[in-house]
Amino acid sequence: MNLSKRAAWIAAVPLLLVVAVAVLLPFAWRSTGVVADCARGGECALRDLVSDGYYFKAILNTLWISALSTLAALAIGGAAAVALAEHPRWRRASNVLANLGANFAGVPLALAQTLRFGAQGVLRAYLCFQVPLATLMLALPVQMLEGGLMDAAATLGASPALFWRRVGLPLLLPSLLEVGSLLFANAAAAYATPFALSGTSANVLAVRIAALVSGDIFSNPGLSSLLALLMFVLLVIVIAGANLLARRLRGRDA
Amino acid sequence: MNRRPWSWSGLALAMVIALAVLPPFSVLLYAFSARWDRSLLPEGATWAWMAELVRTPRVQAAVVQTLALSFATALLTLLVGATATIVARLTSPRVTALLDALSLLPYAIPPVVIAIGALELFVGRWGGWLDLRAVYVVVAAPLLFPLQHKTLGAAMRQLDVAPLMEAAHTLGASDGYLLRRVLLPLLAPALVASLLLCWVTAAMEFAIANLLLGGSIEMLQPLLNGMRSVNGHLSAALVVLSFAVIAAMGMLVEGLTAWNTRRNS
Repeated sequence: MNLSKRAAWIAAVPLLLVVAVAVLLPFAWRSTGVVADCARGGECALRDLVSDGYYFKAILNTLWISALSTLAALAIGGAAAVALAEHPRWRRASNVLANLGANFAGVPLALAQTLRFGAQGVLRAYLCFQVPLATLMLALPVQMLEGGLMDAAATLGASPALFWRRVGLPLLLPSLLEVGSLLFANAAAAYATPFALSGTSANVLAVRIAALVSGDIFSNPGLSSLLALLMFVLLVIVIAGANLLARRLRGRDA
Repeated sequence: MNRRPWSWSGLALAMVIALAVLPPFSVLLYAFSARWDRSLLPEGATWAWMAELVRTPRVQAAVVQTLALSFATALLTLLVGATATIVARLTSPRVTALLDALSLLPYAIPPVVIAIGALELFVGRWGGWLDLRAVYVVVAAPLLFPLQHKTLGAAMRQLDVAPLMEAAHTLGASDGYLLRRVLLPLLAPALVASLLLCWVTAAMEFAIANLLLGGSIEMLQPLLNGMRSVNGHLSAALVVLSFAVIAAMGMLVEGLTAWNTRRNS
């Protein structure tokens, strides 16, 4: 047996089937349902969305907390990655701890948070997993950048600040964009953390999407589908946009 | 280059470690203390919560359910995912690119959306003739694919398969033979490591476990959340126990990867 290019497609079929059935089919079914309702012009979730500022607030809250936690995570995590590149001895232990932090989200994090501060400070909770995750994801790009370049700059008399402004950050920008888009999506998708912290009253998109279907009081599956579709469009724009921009930046340097 | 005793980057690293370590540490303290409501520090070291935890039938049942269902999910991911990843990396950059894109899908369609869609379609519409456990396994598997694709992809890059394939062709071996006798044995530790990582991740998943199974099959994470309001100490003890298991598995993965790197270099 020799593997041809066709073999790769055949080998991917079971995976594609699972993804199509489990993810795409329900998503497409719900989305076409709500879009068809709205296109027909009758009773439609769009009216509920527009008439109630509550859901706009949820969208804004999601954008705000995702963007803020992502920017903070990139800044702190990026600087920490620089420290790790300069001190390889700390790398192993820090990796283990950062891994623990990145995975200590959801219910366990909410438990810790209520122990220490009471049930408030959603942003603080998000930082607890976003910042370690950023450190882990930026460690490799920063490490590849450090190799010799900084020493070369220092030999030529550049201060660290000048090095970072003129060489380091521009070279790192594509990686920052890619990692940032994933961190943004990670924060926007977070359901367990806000839900465990403040129940269905947490006004972020992920919790609203679930509460509109599984909640007993305000059941409105159409609006839930619409919010899910909006979130999808939003996240695709962020992820695809950041990746395209990163590719273009890399192409310019090469 | 002389370094200052402290720097911005060192300060950031300290912050990362504080953010990462303080929440688990406070849960750890809470799990082993008799009470923590009278003063700033916990009082009375005790193993009582841990002992009560392992004796509670509800906890035992949830742990067994979770381990079984998440293992089935991880196994399904590895079967369909690893087949796709390995063959694509060997033969087709285009399929590899497709799989890379596919591993971004769970970021664009978050677990909550997947769980609600599955709840409405597979439980609400077709629930009569679909087994809930099977639905859970199939629905959670795509969430694990990015993890599996990334770990196995890294292992294959490290292995540098192209020269191996060339050598096999020169010697007249078929691709099937190369795969069976050379590549799969070399990749075995990476496959096991990837399975363990997927298993742990699936076991700690909350959204699908809560929304899809909530009310009929009790999983670990929803149980943790429910216990929090009844007895925080007990809930903390369960968190500590699960993270102890995760840490043990993590060390196993680390060991396997290190052993694999040494063996292959």
